[in-house]
Amino acid sequence: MVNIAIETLASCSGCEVSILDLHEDITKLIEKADIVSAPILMDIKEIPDDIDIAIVTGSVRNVENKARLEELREKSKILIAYGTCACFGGITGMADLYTPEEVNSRSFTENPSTEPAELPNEVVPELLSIVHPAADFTKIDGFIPGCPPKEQLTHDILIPLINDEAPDVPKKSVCADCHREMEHVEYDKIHRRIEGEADPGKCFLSQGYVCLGSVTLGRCGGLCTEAGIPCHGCGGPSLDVLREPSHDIYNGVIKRIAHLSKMPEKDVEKQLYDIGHIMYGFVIGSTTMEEKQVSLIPQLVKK
Amino acid sequence: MKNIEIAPVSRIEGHAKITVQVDDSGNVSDAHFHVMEIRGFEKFLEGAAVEEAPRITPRICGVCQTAHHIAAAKATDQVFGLQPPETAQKLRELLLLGQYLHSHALHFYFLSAPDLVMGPESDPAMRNVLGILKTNPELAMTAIKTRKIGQEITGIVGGKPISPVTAIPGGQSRGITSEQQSELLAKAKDAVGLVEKGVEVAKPLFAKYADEIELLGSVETHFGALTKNGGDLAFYDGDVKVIDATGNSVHEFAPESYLEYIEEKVQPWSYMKFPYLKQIGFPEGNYRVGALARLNVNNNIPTERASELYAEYKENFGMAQNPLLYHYARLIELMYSAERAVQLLEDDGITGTEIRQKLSEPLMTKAEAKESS
Amino acid sequence: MVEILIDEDACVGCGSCVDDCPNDVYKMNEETWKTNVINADDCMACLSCHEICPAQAMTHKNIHVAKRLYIDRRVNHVLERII
Repeated sequence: MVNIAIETLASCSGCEVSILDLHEDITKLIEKADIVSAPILMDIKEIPDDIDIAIVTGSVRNVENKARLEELREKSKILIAYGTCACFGGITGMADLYTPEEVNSRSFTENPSTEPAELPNEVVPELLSIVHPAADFTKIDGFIPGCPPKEQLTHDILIPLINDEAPDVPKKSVCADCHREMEHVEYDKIHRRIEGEADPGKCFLSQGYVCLGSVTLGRCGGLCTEAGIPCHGCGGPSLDVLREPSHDIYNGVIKRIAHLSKMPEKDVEKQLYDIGHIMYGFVIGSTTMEEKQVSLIPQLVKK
Repeated sequence: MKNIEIAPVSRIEGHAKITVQVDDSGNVSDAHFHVMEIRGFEKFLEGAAVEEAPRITPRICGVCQTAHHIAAAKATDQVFGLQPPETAQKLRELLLLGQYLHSHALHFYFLSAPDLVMGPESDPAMRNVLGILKTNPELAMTAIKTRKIGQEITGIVGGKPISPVTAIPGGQSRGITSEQQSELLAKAKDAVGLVEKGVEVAKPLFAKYADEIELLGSVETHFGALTKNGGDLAFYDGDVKVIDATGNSVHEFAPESYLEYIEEKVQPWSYMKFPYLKQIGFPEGNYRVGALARLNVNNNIPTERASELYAEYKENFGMAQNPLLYHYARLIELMYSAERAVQLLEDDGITGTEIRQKLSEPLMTKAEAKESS
Repeated sequence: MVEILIDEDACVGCGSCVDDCPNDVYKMNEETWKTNVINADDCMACLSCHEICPAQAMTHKNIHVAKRLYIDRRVNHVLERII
């Protein structure tokens, strides 16, 4: 039997729910694997020894997350960062758009429904000054981005893994999954996502809406664009954005809008709004994404 | 003085620790529930284009993501002065019911029932959903299938089962077709049957543990919940009603006025703040919410079987204060969710095409806004 | 001989590869709105099409890919481990 552990760091637990969304197929998982530790499901308090595959979700936000992660690494043969938070910092990274003092103050000191008080500091773990993905502190053997990874993807990855087989899943961007048609349409205005009404068959970029599909790792079925909503990059960067030093989420979207609309790139840049949340929202915590020469993340974060 | 620590608290969503202070004569002198995490959504949402809020807030919690999504959408309706058309409201309610089916099933069967099904004295290593899968696979499958139907509803109405996307300022971004309506109606009917199976298993358990229900963690508090039509159980919309421990109404207000009624206390030993009734003060103004509160605050469940179960429950427990009764209340709501989903899906209005009120004029850019003020 | 495979499910019909290719390897099929390889012989394996494609729809076979020595080791480490 393969021993599996699931550890939740600064996470919303959507990743754990995505594993439960195997539904009946969970029996395929537990035929070959023993879940030896998963605080969300079972009462094992201490991380056990001899873990074959450890799955860690969530970002590293406080000292307790860091300690649990490091202990998990020591006690497991294979450690997989599951979900965009564990891989790239995820949405927790948006906290880095503000200083820790600003973040804490908003909850405890300057808050319309709260009598001002100090940041809690008894018993609770101290916060790290910035958000980190798991790979900042430990060696990671596998990355499965997604917010959360979709059930089919989880099935197609976890079942082979516990059977000691190599998973074989595509690694294309969201555009590969999306059914909308990309057209060259000349326009000169970018719309906020709530303005106007988008044609359901046409690419969002072709209609002047910001969509991150072309720069985002897919394997998600393009469910959002199917539902009438542009991609907001929750799958983390596409492989070519990750790989190429000159490629970035920001300049990737600008290039495509410019290419499709014939707008000069400078004009596109002027009209882009809310870069921190919309462009980089899910990857602010990622050192790889921050260190690119072309990245705007260093200008956006406050340390 | 001894300090007992239970960490992490397991079978919950999130990070918590419990400490129990025991005095020298061996009696518990105090106990604390420490919430060990905070991520700062309150702050980092600032500066975001507000229509992104329904996309960002679901990541607060991967179990109740739909509730955050819809609450954020409702807030942006107000920001932009938009009124979702009737079909959109029905779709949003159905979307929320999808969550209740999954989330209540998750809570009851996956997280809590192991204590009741296997017993509080059973081996902790087996006392979990995986243990139930091994020892009572039929019950486990009932649980899994119930949850699955909830996720399927969320997936179709909301775009995807975890962190749905279709609730937007002014309505919904996508409706459902009549094929989808038929498909979901069949599933919702299945769900009613599945929940009934769950009730059959659970009721004897509640009887078996009647003493524990009576004694464990008994406390008396106020309760707050949404209410509609003078006392109907409501999930999507309504007024907030607060009652005291004896059932008398203390407040009734529109949700937007919450700042006049609710305040939060900071304790140095927990990252989570403690909401309380402003006009009463802390800690006398502590109140509970959730399934127990909704069934105490209201007096009617507008679906047949849930209403029967509710009547029985009320006869047995009256104003329910004991925490273990949350599980019973949750099961009743699970039945309501399935039945109400059937009601919504039997109404052909759910496939209506007017699902969104749009903005009447384009938004100003930041520069324009600065100039105009 | 260079072989270029187009994943038609992934191709979004944007025509970026047609515009970008320096050697006119591609042409847009105006019936299916998918790109067609019409001139694989002239492909010089610059992979501009591969980079510009929003859906990573093309795969090149029988080409010599120069080692990407300019890529950061840390980035490489992550790339090799994405499942």
